[in-house]
Amino acid sequence: MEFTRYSVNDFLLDESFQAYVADGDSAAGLGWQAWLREHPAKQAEAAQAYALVRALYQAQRPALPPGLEDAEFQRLQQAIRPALAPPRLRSQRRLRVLASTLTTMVLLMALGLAWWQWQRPAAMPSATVRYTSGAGQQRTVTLPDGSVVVLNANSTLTAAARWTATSPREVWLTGEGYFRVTHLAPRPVADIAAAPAPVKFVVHAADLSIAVLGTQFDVNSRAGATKVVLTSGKVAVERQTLLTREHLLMQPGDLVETSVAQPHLSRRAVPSALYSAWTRGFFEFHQTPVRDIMQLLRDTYGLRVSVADSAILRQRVSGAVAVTKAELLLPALAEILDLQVTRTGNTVRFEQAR
Amino acid sequence: MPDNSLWEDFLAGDERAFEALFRQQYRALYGYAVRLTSDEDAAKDGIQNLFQRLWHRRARLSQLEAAAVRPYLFKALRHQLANDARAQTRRTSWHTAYVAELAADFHYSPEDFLIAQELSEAQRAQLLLALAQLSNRQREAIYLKFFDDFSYDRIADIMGLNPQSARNLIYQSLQLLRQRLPPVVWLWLLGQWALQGGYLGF
Repeated sequence: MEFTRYSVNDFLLDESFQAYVADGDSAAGLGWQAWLREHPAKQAEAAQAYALVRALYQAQRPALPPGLEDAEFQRLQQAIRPALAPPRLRSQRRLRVLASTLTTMVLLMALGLAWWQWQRPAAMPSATVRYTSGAGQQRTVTLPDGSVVVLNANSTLTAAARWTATSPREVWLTGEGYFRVTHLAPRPVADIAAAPAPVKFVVHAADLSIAVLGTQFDVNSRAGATKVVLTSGKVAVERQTLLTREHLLMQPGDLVETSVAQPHLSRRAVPSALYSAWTRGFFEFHQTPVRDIMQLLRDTYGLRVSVADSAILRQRVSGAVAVTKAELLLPALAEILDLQVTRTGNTVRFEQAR
Repeated sequence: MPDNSLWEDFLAGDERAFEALFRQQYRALYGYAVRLTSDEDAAKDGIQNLFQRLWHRRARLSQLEAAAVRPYLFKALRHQLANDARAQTRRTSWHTAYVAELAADFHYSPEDFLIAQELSEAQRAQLLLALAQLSNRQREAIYLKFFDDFSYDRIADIMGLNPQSARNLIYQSLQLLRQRLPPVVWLWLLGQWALQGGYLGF
């Protein structure tokens, strides 16, 4: 390819490079990732271009005032349908008043009903397929659109029995699943909310809706808490209860969480690869701070972790651990870190080995 | 494919298709119009006038493929807003000599151009500052490219330029942005690249 002669400016102006920045999982994105891996000498220049384009993709439309679209459409309808009003008798007018009052009442009721329907989380389709994994068992499911879901132990994924080209792709999850969603959008879409329904893929877990176009992420919904960890690409998370609606756009490496105790969506940065390690069956640590590993033990195993000395938190770990079960991971960590790890029920304590 | 038939149905006089078209495009058109005019009422009226005209002139409009609908509407809205601004000045001012100039001089507002999704307040302010130093046309081109995701050809068509000029306009704008961004913002932006981890991996 002639890209070997590209300068920062050439990368900036290249539309396929822009598509890569907009969505690393698009066809252009995958192509550029592969190309950059093979041409490390061009990475510094590409990085500069990438950084600027990425910042520019943060642009947002001015907010649309609520109700404006409806009001403006009504105004348009009135303008294009000139009233052909013949003169009316008084009794007819009275009848009309009565009729319009009735119409208004019916309309209000319909609106109330629509609002109530809209506020409810999306209903499952009538005919569904259910995939379940048992205790200590993992299961890989390929969906009709080619997307792949790895289910962790004790998890259930429900999807419509029939997928059509026009309906949005929707699944319902309890437990934990790692999603690799196939990208269907013909070109990069900057705004997930505005994307047409058929290219969207939505995961429903507890009161969260997780909308993506094509990307990889982990969803863990157990014991009153739901967490989403994004590996690459973009994800829009929405939390909906009877009266509230929260919305958040995730970036790679984000963990977004909601729980019964802390219902509002909260976001923090995590090493996302650790959170999908269970799908590969091993952990790979690269100078990973112990603090991150403890956070992982809390997030994915629901353990309560404490340390005797805060210096332990700053220690770093490198190497691979070929297990993902907590019972085996803890002794392995103890050995690598040369620490003493004691587990009592759900509480784990790290101490300096004597 | 669905859009395509939407436009065709609208041309054939189908009011439902017209409504669907209006609702499908309203958000994007409103965003564009507000940025061009910095005036919400002018933006609303411009879109209103545009759609009224579309409806009345539907018999004389040509077929469009789905992907061409939005660029077509952006271009038409740009003309509509210029006409509206011209009519407005004619009504309210005697200085008709300045009319053409005023109508051509859209104020392209950089406010709210960026959101704080990834950027801190300070970084956002610095980016806004850099964007504010671009000319209106440069800013409009950048916005069409990176927000509305239009190709160079479409941008050229909307802004009434030839494709090479559209490319050049965006090239100049990017150059200016690169020069005007302080090193702190650069370092941080590059950090995002590492986090994104495209090829670096974990």
